[in-house]
Amino acid sequence: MREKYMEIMHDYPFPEYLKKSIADELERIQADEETARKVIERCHEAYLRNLVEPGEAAGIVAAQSIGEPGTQMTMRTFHYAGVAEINVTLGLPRLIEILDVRKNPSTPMMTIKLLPEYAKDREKAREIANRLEATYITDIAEIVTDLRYMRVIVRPDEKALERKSLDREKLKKKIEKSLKIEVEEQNGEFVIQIEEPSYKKLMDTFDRLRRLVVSGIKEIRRVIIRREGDEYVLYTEGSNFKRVMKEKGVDFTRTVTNNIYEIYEVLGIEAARNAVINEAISTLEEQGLEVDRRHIMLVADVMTADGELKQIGRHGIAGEKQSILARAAFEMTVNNLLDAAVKGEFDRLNGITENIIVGQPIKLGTGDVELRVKLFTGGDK
Amino acid sequence: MKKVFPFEYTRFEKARIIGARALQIAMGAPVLIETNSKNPLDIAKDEFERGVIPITVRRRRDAFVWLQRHDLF
Repeated sequence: MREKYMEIMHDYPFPEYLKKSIADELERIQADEETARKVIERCHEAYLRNLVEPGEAAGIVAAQSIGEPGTQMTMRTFHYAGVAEINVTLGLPRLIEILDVRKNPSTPMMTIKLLPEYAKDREKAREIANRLEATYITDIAEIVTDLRYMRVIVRPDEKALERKSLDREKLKKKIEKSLKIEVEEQNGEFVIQIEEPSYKKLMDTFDRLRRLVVSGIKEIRRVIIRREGDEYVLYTEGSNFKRVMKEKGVDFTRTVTNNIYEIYEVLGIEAARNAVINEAISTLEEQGLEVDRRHIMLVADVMTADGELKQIGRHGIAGEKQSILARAAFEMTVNNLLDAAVKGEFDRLNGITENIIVGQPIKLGTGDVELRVKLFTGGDK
Repeated sequence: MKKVFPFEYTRFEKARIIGARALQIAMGAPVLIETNSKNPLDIAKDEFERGVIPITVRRRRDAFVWLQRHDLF
């Protein structure tokens, strides 16, 4: 029956998601073909009534519709609801972060879904979590500096090693590779001899050892395993989308990060657009504010229309406007006018802002209508 | 697939047409309908309802066109 509904709707100009939800509803009420046609026709009428009219200041409406609830947002960050102890920037700071397209958001976070064979088993999920989480030497061993013989001693903790499923051999290789120094093993301890007797060199080596990531992904600072429905899901503090996606056992089709720029780099502009929309919506929703999705979609479209993620602001949308006056009206008036004068730029007065500045009617709403003489007036339009 | 939407004046076009017509009437243009009203705006509205105003709009496209994704590329 569903195919039948879809077939009827084929020539209607609905977006895909609308078609789907109409079909769902028709299926629920078990409508026959005649009723379906009627319902769809009525939906079409309602749809036409709700379209934005040409000339409408859609951008202004979107700005106001996001701006007003925005004034009610609280300036606070707190623990993410539900997930144990992961701090997430929320509220206004987060919204600003999204619209500014920060390359490094203050609290990057990933939600990692696992492939079916790993998702059901807590042990296997734990294993993946171990592979992802950054492990520093200090987590699995004790580092001691020996000033007398100018050397650094690493004392691995067997239990910690086992917990992270590592062994001495791996640890030794890792240290050798990163320091490019031969490591001697003396009764269970690794001894790193500093060649020249220099205190600075010793401390350098010590610091580098401390910062050395033995296993896992450097950016992933912490992994939390949570059971969701019938599967285990990993939540991480820190994000490295590319490397996590490559990891075995990770279902990369359902894995997301809240770092939009990373999504843009890895998955491309369409994914980035969706990420902007979803992040903005969830930030607003979390604060109990309801903003229509389409307002945010407009913002996301403007940000991504050129194929690259551009921020709203001086270094993005507003700064790249072609009109001098529009740029000057936004920020840094004098600088913009001066630079434009030096370059001998030309303003064609095509936009809204420019025309308001020079005092002309704007191409918006009533101002965008071109009147013509109608020669035949037989009545009834 | 392109679906042509029914032609209908938008509220901006309607306002603009009535406004222009009201101005003509206010400046002494002959009224095209029978009316007792003395208010040019009311007369213009009435004329618009009856479809006798000799003014229309030029659209840059004849009708709204719903563009599918592949039309854009």
